[in-house]
Amino acid sequence: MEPDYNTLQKFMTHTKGIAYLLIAVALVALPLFWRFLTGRDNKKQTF
Amino acid sequence: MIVPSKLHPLWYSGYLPVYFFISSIIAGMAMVIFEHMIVERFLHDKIDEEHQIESNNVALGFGKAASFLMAGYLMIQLIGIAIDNDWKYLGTWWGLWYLLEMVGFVALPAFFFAVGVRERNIKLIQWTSFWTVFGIVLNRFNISLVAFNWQLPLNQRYFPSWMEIMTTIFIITIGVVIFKFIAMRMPILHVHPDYPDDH
Repeated sequence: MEPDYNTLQKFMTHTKGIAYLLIAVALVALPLFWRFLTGRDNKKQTF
Repeated sequence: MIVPSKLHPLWYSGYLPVYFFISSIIAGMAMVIFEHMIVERFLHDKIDEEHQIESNNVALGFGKAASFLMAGYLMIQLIGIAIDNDWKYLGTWWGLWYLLEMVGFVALPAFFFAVGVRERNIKLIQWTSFWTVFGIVLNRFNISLVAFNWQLPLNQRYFPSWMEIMTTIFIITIGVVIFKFIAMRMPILHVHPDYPDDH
Protein backbone atom coordinates (compact mmCIF):
# COMPACT_ATOMS: atom_id res chain seq x y z
CA MET A 1 0.00 0.00 0.00
CA GLU A 2 1.33 3.40 -1.02
CA PRO A 3 1.64 5.82 1.88
CA ASP A 4 -0.40 9.02 1.51
CA TYR A 5 1.53 12.21 1.03
CA ASN A 6 -0.47 15.18 2.16
CA THR A 7 2.16 17.73 1.34
CA LEU A 8 4.90 18.09 -1.22
CA GLN A 9 7.38 18.36 1.61
CA LYS A 10 6.40 14.92 2.95
CA PHE A 11 6.74 13.43 -0.51
CA MET A 12 10.13 15.05 -1.09
CA THR A 13 11.41 14.05 2.35
CA HIS A 14 10.46 10.45 1.64
CA THR A 15 11.81 10.21 -1.92
CA LYS A 16 14.95 12.27 -1.28
CA GLY A 17 15.62 10.25 1.85
CA ILE A 18 15.61 7.01 -0.15
CA ALA A 19 17.68 8.62 -2.92
CA TYR A 20 20.33 9.72 -0.42
CA LEU A 21 20.44 6.22 1.08
CA LEU A 22 20.93 4.80 -2.44
CA ILE A 23 23.73 7.30 -3.06
CA ALA A 24 25.42 6.05 0.12
CA VAL A 25 25.03 2.47 -1.16
CA ALA A 26 26.54 3.53 -4.51
CA LEU A 27 29.50 5.18 -2.77
CA VAL A 28 30.29 1.85 -1.11
CA ALA A 29 29.26 -0.51 -3.93
CA LEU A 30 30.99 1.21 -6.86
CA PRO A 31 34.51 1.24 -5.32
CA LEU A 32 34.02 -2.42 -4.35
CA PHE A 33 33.00 -3.20 -7.94
CA TRP A 34 36.05 -1.27 -9.17
CA ARG A 35 38.26 -3.42 -6.91
CA PHE A 36 36.65 -6.54 -8.38
CA LEU A 37 37.13 -5.16 -11.90
CA THR A 38 40.81 -4.29 -11.46
CA GLY A 39 41.66 -7.04 -8.96
CA ARG A 40 43.90 -8.93 -11.35
CA ASP A 41 45.56 -5.97 -13.07
CA ASN A 42 49.33 -5.83 -12.90
CA LYS A 43 50.40 -3.57 -10.08
CA LYS A 44 52.07 -0.40 -11.35
CA GLN A 45 55.56 0.24 -10.00
CA THR A 46 55.49 3.69 -8.42
CA PHE A 47 59.15 3.85 -7.43
CA MET B 1 12.06 15.40 -22.13
CA ILE B 2 8.71 16.59 -23.50
CA VAL B 3 6.86 13.29 -23.01
CA PRO B 4 6.43 12.83 -19.24
CA SER B 5 2.77 11.91 -19.62
CA LYS B 6 3.24 9.64 -22.64
CA LEU B 7 6.22 7.55 -21.59
CA HIS B 8 5.84 4.91 -18.88
CA PRO B 9 7.09 6.29 -15.51
CA LEU B 10 9.72 3.55 -15.20
CA TRP B 11 11.41 4.77 -18.38
CA TYR B 12 10.61 8.45 -18.01
CA SER B 13 12.65 10.47 -15.58
CA GLY B 14 13.88 14.02 -15.32
CA TYR B 15 17.29 12.38 -15.77
CA LEU B 16 16.36 10.96 -19.19
CA PRO B 17 19.01 13.08 -21.03
CA VAL B 18 21.63 11.84 -18.55
CA TYR B 19 20.56 8.22 -19.15
CA PHE B 20 20.86 8.74 -22.89
CA PHE B 21 24.26 10.41 -22.54
CA ILE B 22 25.75 7.69 -20.29
CA SER B 23 24.24 4.81 -22.28
CA SER B 24 25.51 6.30 -25.54
CA ILE B 25 29.07 6.25 -24.13
CA ILE B 26 28.57 2.58 -23.21
CA ALA B 27 27.10 1.91 -26.68
CA GLY B 28 30.08 3.56 -28.37
CA MET B 29 32.62 1.47 -26.50
CA ALA B 30 30.67 -1.76 -26.92
CA MET B 31 30.26 -1.03 -30.62
CA VAL B 32 34.01 -0.53 -31.12
CA ILE B 33 34.68 -3.94 -29.51
CA PHE B 34 31.84 -5.55 -31.48
CA GLU B 35 33.03 -3.97 -34.74
CA HIS B 36 36.46 -5.53 -34.26
CA MET B 37 34.81 -8.89 -33.62
CA ILE B 38 33.01 -8.61 -36.98
CA VAL B 39 36.16 -7.39 -38.76
CA GLU B 40 38.15 -10.26 -37.26
CA ARG B 41 35.57 -12.68 -38.65
CA PHE B 42 35.14 -11.26 -42.18
CA LEU B 43 38.27 -9.20 -42.92
CA HIS B 44 40.86 -11.19 -40.98
CA ASP B 45 43.26 -11.24 -43.97
CA LYS B 46 43.49 -7.42 -43.81
CA ILE B 47 44.50 -7.27 -40.14
CA ASP B 48 48.19 -7.20 -39.30
CA GLU B 49 49.70 -8.37 -36.02
CA GLU B 50 50.18 -4.89 -34.58
CA HIS B 51 46.52 -3.99 -35.17
CA GLN B 52 45.45 -7.27 -33.61
CA ILE B 53 47.46 -6.62 -30.41
CA GLU B 54 46.22 -3.02 -30.22
CA SER B 55 42.61 -4.13 -30.73
CA ASN B 56 42.89 -6.64 -27.90
CA ASN B 57 44.23 -3.90 -25.63
CA VAL B 58 41.36 -1.64 -26.72
CA ALA B 59 38.88 -4.44 -25.93
CA LEU B 60 40.37 -4.84 -22.45
CA GLY B 61 40.37 -1.09 -21.77
CA PHE B 62 36.93 -0.38 -23.20
CA GLY B 63 35.50 -3.51 -21.56
CA LYS B 64 36.71 -2.25 -18.21
CA ALA B 65 35.35 1.26 -18.78
CA ALA B 66 32.00 -0.02 -20.10
CA SER B 67 31.63 -2.38 -17.16
CA PHE B 68 32.14 0.37 -14.60
CA LEU B 69 29.95 2.83 -16.49
CA MET B 70 27.16 0.24 -16.65
CA ALA B 71 27.37 -0.21 -12.88
CA GLY B 72 27.08 3.57 -12.52
CA TYR B 73 24.22 3.66 -15.03
CA LEU B 74 22.38 1.06 -12.96
CA MET B 75 22.79 3.20 -9.84
CA ILE B 76 21.47 6.39 -11.48
CA GLN B 77 18.50 4.41 -12.85
CA LEU B 78 17.75 3.26 -9.29
CA ILE B 79 18.11 6.80 -7.98
CA GLY B 80 15.75 8.00 -10.75
CA ILE B 81 13.12 5.52 -9.59
CA ALA B 82 13.57 6.61 -5.98
CA ILE B 83 13.28 10.33 -6.82
CA ASP B 84 10.01 9.81 -8.72
CA ASN B 85 8.78 7.17 -6.24
CA ASP B 86 8.08 4.68 -9.03
CA TRP B 87 8.65 1.54 -6.92
CA LYS B 88 4.98 0.54 -7.18
CA TYR B 89 5.32 -0.06 -10.94
CA LEU B 90 8.06 -2.65 -10.47
CA GLY B 91 5.49 -5.27 -9.44
CA THR B 92 3.54 -4.94 -12.71
CA TRP B 93 4.21 -6.52 -16.13
CA TRP B 94 5.81 -3.24 -17.19
CA GLY B 95 8.04 -3.53 -14.13
CA LEU B 96 9.07 -7.04 -15.14
CA TRP B 97 9.96 -5.82 -18.64
CA TYR B 98 11.93 -2.92 -17.12
CA LEU B 99 13.73 -5.27 -14.73
CA LEU B 100 14.55 -7.61 -17.61
CA GLU B 101 16.17 -4.67 -19.39
CA MET B 102 18.07 -3.50 -16.30
CA VAL B 103 19.20 -6.90 -15.03
CA GLY B 104 19.45 -8.82 -18.31
CA PHE B 105 20.98 -6.09 -20.44
CA VAL B 106 22.82 -3.83 -17.98
CA ALA B 107 23.75 -5.66 -14.77
CA LEU B 108 24.66 -9.03 -16.33
CA PRO B 109 26.74 -7.59 -19.21
CA ALA B 110 28.52 -5.34 -16.68
CA PHE B 111 29.39 -8.45 -14.65
CA PHE B 112 30.51 -10.43 -17.70
CA PHE B 113 32.63 -7.51 -18.94
CA ALA B 114 34.26 -7.46 -15.50
CA VAL B 115 34.90 -11.22 -15.58
CA GLY B 116 36.26 -10.91 -19.14
CA VAL B 117 38.64 -8.12 -18.08
CA ARG B 118 39.77 -10.03 -14.97
CA GLU B 119 40.41 -13.22 -16.93
CA ARG B 120 41.76 -11.29 -19.96
CA ASN B 121 39.24 -13.27 -21.99
CA ILE B 122 38.86 -11.31 -25.24
CA LYS B 123 36.19 -13.63 -26.67
CA LEU B 124 33.99 -13.15 -23.60
CA ILE B 125 34.41 -9.36 -23.81
CA GLN B 126 33.53 -9.43 -27.52
CA TRP B 127 30.37 -11.48 -27.05
CA THR B 128 29.38 -9.30 -24.09
CA SER B 129 29.82 -6.23 -26.30
CA PHE B 130 27.29 -7.73 -28.75
CA TRP B 131 24.96 -8.36 -25.81
CA THR B 132 25.41 -4.74 -24.67
CA VAL B 133 24.75 -3.28 -28.12
CA PHE B 134 21.58 -5.38 -28.30
CA GLY B 135 20.60 -4.05 -24.85
CA ILE B 136 21.06 -0.43 -25.94
CA VAL B 137 18.90 -1.06 -29.04
CA LEU B 138 16.27 -2.66 -26.78
CA ASN B 139 16.39 0.39 -24.48
CA ARG B 140 15.87 2.77 -27.42
CA PHE B 141 12.97 0.65 -28.72
CA ASN B 142 11.43 0.54 -25.24
CA ILE B 143 11.56 4.33 -24.94
CA SER B 144 10.40 5.13 -28.47
CA LEU B 145 7.92 2.28 -29.09
CA VAL B 146 7.11 -0.18 -26.29
CA ALA B 147 6.69 2.11 -23.29
CA PHE B 148 5.67 5.12 -25.38
CA ASN B 149 1.94 5.94 -25.19
CA TRP B 150 1.67 2.93 -22.93
CA GLN B 151 -1.86 3.85 -21.83
CA LEU B 152 -3.27 3.75 -25.37
CA PRO B 153 -4.67 0.54 -26.90
CA LEU B 154 -2.27 -1.19 -29.27
CA ASN B 155 -4.06 -0.19 -32.47
CA GLN B 156 -3.68 3.51 -31.65
CA ARG B 157 0.02 3.33 -30.99
CA TYR B 158 2.87 4.13 -33.34
CA PHE B 159 4.63 1.37 -35.17
CA PRO B 160 7.03 2.13 -38.04
CA SER B 161 5.69 1.44 -41.53
CA TRP B 162 7.49 -0.99 -43.81
CA MET B 163 8.97 1.96 -45.68
CA GLU B 164 10.53 3.33 -42.48
CA ILE B 165 11.91 -0.10 -41.63
CA MET B 166 13.34 -0.49 -45.14
CA THR B 167 14.90 3.01 -44.95
CA THR B 168 16.64 2.02 -41.70
CA ILE B 169 17.91 -1.24 -43.21
CA PHE B 170 19.08 0.73 -46.27
CA ILE B 171 21.04 3.24 -44.16
CA ILE B 172 22.70 0.47 -42.11
CA THR B 173 23.55 -1.47 -45.27
CA ILE B 174 25.08 1.64 -46.88
CA GLY B 175 27.20 2.15 -43.75
CA VAL B 176 28.47 -1.43 -43.80
CA VAL B 177 29.16 -1.36 -47.55
CA ILE B 178 31.09 1.94 -47.33
CA PHE B 179 33.10 0.68 -44.34
CA LYS B 180 33.96 -2.54 -46.18
CA PHE B 181 34.84 -0.61 -49.35
CA ILE B 182 37.29 1.57 -47.40
CA ALA B 183 38.71 -1.21 -45.20
CA MET B 184 39.39 -3.40 -48.24
CA ARG B 185 41.25 -0.68 -50.18
CA MET B 186 42.96 1.55 -47.64
CA PRO B 187 45.45 0.78 -44.85
CA ILE B 188 42.90 0.90 -42.03
CA LEU B 189 43.48 -2.48 -40.43
CA HIS B 190 47.16 -2.78 -41.34
CA VAL B 191 50.22 -0.64 -41.96
CA HIS B 192 50.74 0.42 -45.57
CA PRO B 193 53.88 -1.42 -46.80
CA ASP B 194 55.26 1.76 -48.43
CA TYR B 195 54.90 3.88 -45.27
CA PRO B 196 55.74 1.62 -42.33
CA ASP B 197 56.84 4.37 -39.92
CA ASP B 198 54.37 7.09 -40.84
CA HIS B 199 52.02 6.83 -37.88
